[in-house]
Amino acid sequence: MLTRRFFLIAGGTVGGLGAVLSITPPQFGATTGLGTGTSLSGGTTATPLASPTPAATHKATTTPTKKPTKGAGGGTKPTPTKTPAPVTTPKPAGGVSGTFTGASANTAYGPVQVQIVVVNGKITNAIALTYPNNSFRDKQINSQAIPFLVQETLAAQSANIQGVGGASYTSQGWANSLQSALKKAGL
Amino acid sequence: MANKRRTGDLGVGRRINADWASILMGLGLGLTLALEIDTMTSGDWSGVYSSITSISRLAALSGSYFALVGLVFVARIPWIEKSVGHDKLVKWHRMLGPWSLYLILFHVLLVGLGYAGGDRVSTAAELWRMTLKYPWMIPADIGFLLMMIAGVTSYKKARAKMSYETWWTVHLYTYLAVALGFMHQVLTGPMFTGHPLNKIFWEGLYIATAAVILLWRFVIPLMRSLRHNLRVDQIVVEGPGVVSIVMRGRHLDRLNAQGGQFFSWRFITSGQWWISHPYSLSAAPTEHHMRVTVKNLGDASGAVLGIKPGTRVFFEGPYGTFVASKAARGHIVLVGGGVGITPLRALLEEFDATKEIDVLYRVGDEKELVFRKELDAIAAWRGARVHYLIGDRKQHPMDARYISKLVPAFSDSDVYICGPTGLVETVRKAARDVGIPKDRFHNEEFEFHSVE
Repeated sequence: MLTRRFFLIAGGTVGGLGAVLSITPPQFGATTGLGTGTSLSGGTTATPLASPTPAATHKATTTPTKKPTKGAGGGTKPTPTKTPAPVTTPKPAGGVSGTFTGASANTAYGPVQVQIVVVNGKITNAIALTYPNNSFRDKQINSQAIPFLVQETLAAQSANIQGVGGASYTSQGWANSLQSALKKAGL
Repeated sequence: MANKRRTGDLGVGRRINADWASILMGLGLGLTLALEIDTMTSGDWSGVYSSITSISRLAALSGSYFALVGLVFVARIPWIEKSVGHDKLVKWHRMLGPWSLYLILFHVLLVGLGYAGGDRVSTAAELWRMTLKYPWMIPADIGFLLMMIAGVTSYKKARAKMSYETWWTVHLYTYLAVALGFMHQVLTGPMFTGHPLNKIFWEGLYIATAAVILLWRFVIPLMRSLRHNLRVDQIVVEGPGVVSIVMRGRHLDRLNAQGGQFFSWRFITSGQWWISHPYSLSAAPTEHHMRVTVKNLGDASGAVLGIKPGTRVFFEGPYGTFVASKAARGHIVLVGGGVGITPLRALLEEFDATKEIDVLYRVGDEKELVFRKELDAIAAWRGARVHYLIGDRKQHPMDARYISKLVPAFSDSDVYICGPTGLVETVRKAARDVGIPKDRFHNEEFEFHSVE
């Protein structure tokens, strides 16, 4: 009687878990690439971390500060066409282009510095040059949060982003630094 | 006394419902584990310490899930109560509770160890740092402590040492504990960071749990108490330290309560409105009256003595499956020890006339006898034998031989017992010795009721 019930519970557990995993396959292999906005700029909202990340290596994760150029270079190609709809701005073609680095914004956990790549007045990529990673915990939070911030930035095309729940400080710092980068770009 | 309205063990129907409940519970656990598993990336298991924190999160999720399910089990949701049965739900609640605690304890230790390893500091220092640095960690710590205290006090040996009321008050804090843990989960848990669907699922789980508890443990009992307008009618001294509280109300028959069941009572006086007492009915309820009989056992049953007629009574119930409809045999043996006779006194009225009944009423001293007149009157009216067994254990060993001599049909009876643990265990052994199957031995633990 008791073992039967145990099997029923276990069966339900496997069923529930299996159902979710079959709908959205887990991404054990994926790294949450920091500074590799490329992987996320065109990603769908459902599984943003899921998109394959050719540019993302473990190195990129741990030392994002060294990789700005790589991230920037990678981001230029595929993104503009894919950038989601909210940017139906009537901006004339042939706007600003270039890489702009925002001022470092201080947060309670450390500074955040954002670099953006702009092509024809559109943000095509964004990366974190600096972000709080003093503790293991900070690293974990931000390795989850920054890809979303990149995505939000590309969607909003402004510093007016929602931010990521659970990483409110980093989000705020990101928005501030992004604001200054946008200013430099004249956007 | 019609037996139709009785809800006893419904057998197959109940089992199927319990099976569905098991599957549903497993399904929820699967979805809960998926929160973590589906959001893990290679970074979460790339090193020893990352793996430790990932495991700690699985423990946290499943521990929290079990805590919620444990609360839902005792939330008095009518269709669950009806289909699974209150006794079984309390049993499950007791089985699940410790697991929830172990898993959450495991989470705290592992998350400390994992982060400490990553940051290369001691686990204690890391736990302290996390408490100070991350949002809602101080409430979470407090919740954790409350939960552990509730766990320790529910441990059999600890629980036996305190009064029901003390235990109950401490246990009540687990609601707070579960609530306090919530915010740190959604704010710092990586499975929720940037995963709005996960967050909605988890918040939904908590909100739904809170809603059913609020509705069925607060709003509905309150409304029923007001509707039936139950008040203390009179207090009757039955013997030394033993009093009966007779309560009067409207349409009490609609509660479908039976002799042998208990309610959770709350006497609305300035001193004790905040505490509820689990007392069995000591007489079969009528349309206007219910009666409980209390001995000065715990710290609060003493306070009950000071309750005045007219005091409003809030109640939850009826609960319990210590009821006449559980009997399968033609012969019934009711064994009462001391004040444990009270639910049996109520039960005695409930058996239909075809049952043959022997009552064994065990007391150390004649002064302790209560309800003698009532027992004799019911016995004469419906036909039952009441054996007053007064004296020490040598005179009345209550073993198989002794009981069989008193009641020749003992081995072919349903046994109902309520009394001190020593007596219950002695008679349980006697019943086993004469071959009475487990499910024909009905035990009402009167020291601690299973109201949770």
